[in-house]
Amino acid sequence: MEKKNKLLTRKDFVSSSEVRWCPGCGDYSVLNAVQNVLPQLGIPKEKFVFVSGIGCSSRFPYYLDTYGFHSIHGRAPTIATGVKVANPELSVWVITGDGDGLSIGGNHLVHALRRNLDMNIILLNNKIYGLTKGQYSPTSEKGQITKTSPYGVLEEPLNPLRIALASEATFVARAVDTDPKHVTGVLLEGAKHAGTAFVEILQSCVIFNKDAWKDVSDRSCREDRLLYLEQGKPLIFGEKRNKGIILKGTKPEVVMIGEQGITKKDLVVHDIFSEDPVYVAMLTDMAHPDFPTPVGIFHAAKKPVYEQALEEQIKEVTASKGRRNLQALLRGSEYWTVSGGGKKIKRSSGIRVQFSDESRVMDERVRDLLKSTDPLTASLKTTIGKIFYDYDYKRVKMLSPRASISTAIANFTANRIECILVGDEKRLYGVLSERDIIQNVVLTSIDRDRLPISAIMRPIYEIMDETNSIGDVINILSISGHRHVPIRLKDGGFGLVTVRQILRFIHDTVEQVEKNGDVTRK
Amino acid sequence: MTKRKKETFWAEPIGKVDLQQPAVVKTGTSIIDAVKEMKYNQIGCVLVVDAKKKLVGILSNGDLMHEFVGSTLSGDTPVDEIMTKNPASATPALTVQEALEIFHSNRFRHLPILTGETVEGILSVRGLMTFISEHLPLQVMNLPPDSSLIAPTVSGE
Repeated sequence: MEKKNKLLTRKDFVSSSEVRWCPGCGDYSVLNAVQNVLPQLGIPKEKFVFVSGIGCSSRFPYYLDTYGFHSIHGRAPTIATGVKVANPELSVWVITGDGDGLSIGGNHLVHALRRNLDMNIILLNNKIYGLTKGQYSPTSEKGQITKTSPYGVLEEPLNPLRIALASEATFVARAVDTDPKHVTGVLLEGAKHAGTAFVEILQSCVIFNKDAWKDVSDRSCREDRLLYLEQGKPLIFGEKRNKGIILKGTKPEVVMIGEQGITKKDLVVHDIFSEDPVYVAMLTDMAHPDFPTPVGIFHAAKKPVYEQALEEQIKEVTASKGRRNLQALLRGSEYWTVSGGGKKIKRSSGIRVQFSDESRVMDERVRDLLKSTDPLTASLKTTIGKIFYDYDYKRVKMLSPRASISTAIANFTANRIECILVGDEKRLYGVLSERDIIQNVVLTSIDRDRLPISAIMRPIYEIMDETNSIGDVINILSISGHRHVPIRLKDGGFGLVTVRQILRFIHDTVEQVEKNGDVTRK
Repeated sequence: MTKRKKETFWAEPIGKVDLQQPAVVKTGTSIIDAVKEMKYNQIGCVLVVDAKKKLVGILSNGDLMHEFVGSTLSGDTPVDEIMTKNPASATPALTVQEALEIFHSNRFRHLPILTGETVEGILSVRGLMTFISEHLPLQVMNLPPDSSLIAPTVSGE
């Protein structure tokens, strides 16, 4: 087997499909680099899977003689996740672009990175939508002229590496298409990394964004404008290798080695395993023209791999609970059988038995959480029926909506009440408070003997049931902004619960608790 | 831990409660203008202060209902005639528990909170209830706005 692997060469990964990218496209060089890397990994050819979304870069799987999946827009990381989880032995690669990966599939990319499956994600960044003929993409520069931004892009571009770092990616790297040797090296390291390796490759779109990275990737100026990051080595760049990066506080600064007493020892030493978020953030922020644009491995971390953790969890749960029946799970805990033209409906819960232990455990946990040790919070579960009958319920008055305002005033003064219900035996129409009376009677010249109270009452916000808890009532009172809420009584009548009654209840509960010595305060 | 939390909750000073902005009028203001002030401030009472801005009385919807609406007094009558003189007040140092006690043993719904002679705001029964309920998120605050949506059991069965 091993012998056979050694025999694999680049040619083994070249498919018979005709490559249909535009002549001069950076995708060719990346394809080449990938075809160079694969035989070096010592993995049998049939174990490779390439998953892509939509876009020029997403044509990748056709041109590689491996298993592949040209999938749906932006969803390559998702499908790759499924592939890897179902078959962890495979070497899974995602090929995406700046539009597919950061816009249409931005969410999927973020979560794939955070999950940290052992796979590779290559994002080809040409700062444009090429396949759809030149619309601006999430990485297009501010001010860039494209077909959909004829007067310049207004948005800030996304920095793919920053997205990766924010998503807790465990391997973050960048390379440029014009340096295939470097691309190969970075991809090789990424493939060896245990966890999701995210590699951004800077490349141009010959048709719609020819000079996307010309300033940094052109052979003539590359040495001076790119900073090749090497593990454990100082940050040195320049054609003559005479420039370097020093740190002033957290800010990087370009210096000339040998000038002003600067030696190589003063330079920042690159450490991909650095856990200092400031350092790697500083690197991702550096860019031409103020700084050289860094390429290479920015950051790497050893963290648990998702599919292994999942496998262990499955093993653990299977050992304690046995294997589960997927069909039973899909059919749920209960189902209905409809027959006889919809006339007969039978409800079954036959499968329930298998799940009862789980749902019971869940229920108990939630109940424990809700179970309160504090007598006051526990008392809030009391139904309002109780509070209603205990506190002042005889004082509730109800008047017909046709009653005059004078009648209402007479009721208010005679009974010293705060509020009157408006309705009849069957229906509740509204609530009339002192405030409604005062503001209408004092400020307007209405005929209080003729005008019915229905003209000035407030409509019902909510009628609660006697079985609702006191907690529910407090909630409704808080939301509605009212001082009283009507309740529907068991005998069909209506009652009223006021803020004052609630406070009395709380007061009495606290007093009771103090008497019993259940709670120690002060 | 839970015990300590409870202590601090009941012993919280009333200054931490969201007090209502008071409606304030000077002595001698007509009843009609006082009611306008209440309506404008969306509050059920109005504070009456003297020339030195010292609190001398409070006029509530209850006072108006019982002393004015059914009476023969004209709307131009000064508030002084029907207001409650020298009303109960408290300082921001009053605790939640003490406030609960005050509202329990008195009929009024609004309590002026003063620092020295400066009015800080009005503590209402509603404000106090809301403050208490905010400390009980599980049982009170985090519920659906429509009571018919409140699940009878935790698992929603």
